[in-house]
Amino acid sequence: MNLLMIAISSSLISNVVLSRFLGICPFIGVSNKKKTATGMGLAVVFVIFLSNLLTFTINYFFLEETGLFNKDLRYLQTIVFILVIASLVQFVEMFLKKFIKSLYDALGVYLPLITTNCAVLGVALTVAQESYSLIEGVVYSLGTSIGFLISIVLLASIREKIEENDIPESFKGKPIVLVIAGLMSIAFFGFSGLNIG
Amino acid sequence: MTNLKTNFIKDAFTLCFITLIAGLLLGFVYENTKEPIAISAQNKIKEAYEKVLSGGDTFIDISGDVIGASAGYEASLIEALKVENKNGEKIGYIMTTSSRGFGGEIKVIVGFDNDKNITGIAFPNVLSETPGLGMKITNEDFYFQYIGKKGSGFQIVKNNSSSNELEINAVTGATVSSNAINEAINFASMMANRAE
Amino acid sequence: MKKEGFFYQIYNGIIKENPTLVLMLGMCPTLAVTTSLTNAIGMGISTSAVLIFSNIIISLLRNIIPDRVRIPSYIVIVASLVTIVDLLMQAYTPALYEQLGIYIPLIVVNCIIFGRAESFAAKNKIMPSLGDGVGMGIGFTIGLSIIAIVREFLGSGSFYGINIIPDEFHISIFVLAPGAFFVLSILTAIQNKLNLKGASNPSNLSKSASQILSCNGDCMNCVSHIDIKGGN
Repeated sequence: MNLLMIAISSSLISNVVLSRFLGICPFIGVSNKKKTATGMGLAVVFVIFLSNLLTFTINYFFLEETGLFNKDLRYLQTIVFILVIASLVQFVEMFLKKFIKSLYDALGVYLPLITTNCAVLGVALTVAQESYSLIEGVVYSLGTSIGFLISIVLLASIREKIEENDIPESFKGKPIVLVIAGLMSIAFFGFSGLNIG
Repeated sequence: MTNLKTNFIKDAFTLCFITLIAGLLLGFVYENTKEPIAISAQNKIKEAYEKVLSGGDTFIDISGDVIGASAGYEASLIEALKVENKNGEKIGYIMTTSSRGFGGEIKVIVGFDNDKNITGIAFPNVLSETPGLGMKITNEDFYFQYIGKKGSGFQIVKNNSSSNELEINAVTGATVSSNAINEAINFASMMANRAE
Repeated sequence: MKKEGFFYQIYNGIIKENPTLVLMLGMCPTLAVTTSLTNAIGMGISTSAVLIFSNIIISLLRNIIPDRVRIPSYIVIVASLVTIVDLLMQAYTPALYEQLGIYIPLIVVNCIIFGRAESFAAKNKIMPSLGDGVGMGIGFTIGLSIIAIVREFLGSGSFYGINIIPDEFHISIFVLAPGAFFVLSILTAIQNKLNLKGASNPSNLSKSASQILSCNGDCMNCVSHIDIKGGN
């Protein structure tokens, strides 16, 4: 039950973009077409999942007081995690380019953008701070990243729909996107009523 | 080829050097802020204790005495303290419990006098409840409903009109958070009842 | 004003290329911590501190850091600075630290910092870089504060924590998540209306600048804005 709660709360109730404001830049920047939004979303799911496994392991074995060094090194979390994420992204890019060409064609262009996506580092830090177990961490990271995928694809679909609409001159461009995001955020508030467990 | 190799070594060396300096600097700052951080954390807890039950001087851990069967409660005990004043007289108890709220853990410090009446409630952490809704459980309007009352049978109700003092008005629109904190307070109360 | 140097960069950061209002960089904290003016100023100052020092250090090391390990070096430098700020805040401003929570370590991935390191500090002498850091920092703080003032006033009826409007008239949605989007949306719409230069109003920016709206999510390669190459 607890895992289900983590999954639902991380993906819908406290949606990573719409209620916690992580990963706003790609959310607004790469959401003009459904296709690119889906690519970005999937790349984020992929990277968050992998990076979380990696940062969890490093945190557990090296940074926690119970780790191999017997020293509380948690203050190094930020620097270690961001380096791990940056190298992971590089590595995944090279790996996909060489071995899984089709996946690289689909996600390749988005990968370099992900290093500085707050959501990735945000998930790693939250998992460490809330001291989630491995399984809880996996569920949380998948929930969060799927929440990102859902919201960016939804936003892109709405943006495609309103492309031809008659929008007041001043609201063309960014403002209308922000209005849509705000309305989506209200809609996601509805999930707050979910009474789980 | 050799040129490329020396370049590579130079690159790696520079990067290592930067990392080393950064690491040393970080270690230095960490060692120097360790104490202030610990002190500020301690002060915060002391302040919270003083807020829920004033006049405490000695805090004795009694969690071993009160812990026991706690079926039916969705809350957990973090700390149980017996509080004495400067003269060594027992003035009450402080229980820290937590339960799962809407956005995460709700940790609450509850003070009791010798008769197990609730004397005060404090929140040691910033809660991750929804601002403007669930967050309102930290408003005095809400949690003052518990103060001066006794027992572990508090119930959250909507629009309370009866005079039953164990009925607590929910925060509008935040039933989950209200129930969570109610659970934590009931649990703390039950633990206090077991204390001697 | 001379288009080089310390003071020009300060002016540039606050007015001309205001990171929040004009370039729309660092949106995560812009939306997340602007529920009250106190938080906004706290966030602004801590980000500025990181930005100023990272600009200085990167400018000093610009001829030492080899091009190929540029990005990892920046990451190490910025992340260390953020950790230092994090520790100092934890020690000396614990209340603010708890309020800002996870957004403090997330300064690392704030677009403004990498953007400025890459596009300015790495190419300029120390004084302009320092000016750029100060200007961008102040600009960011002002941007956050404007949004926070509006949200705090409408949402919790107060200004800098002082209650002005009675409880019954608060429009709490403005301190909630959707309010952040709406306030920013209205601000950018006003910019459009007044034909001010802004990220939402690309016609008034040079082409390179209009491409970097929120960097299209790409901070690392968020390079060269309007003036740096002497254009515009």
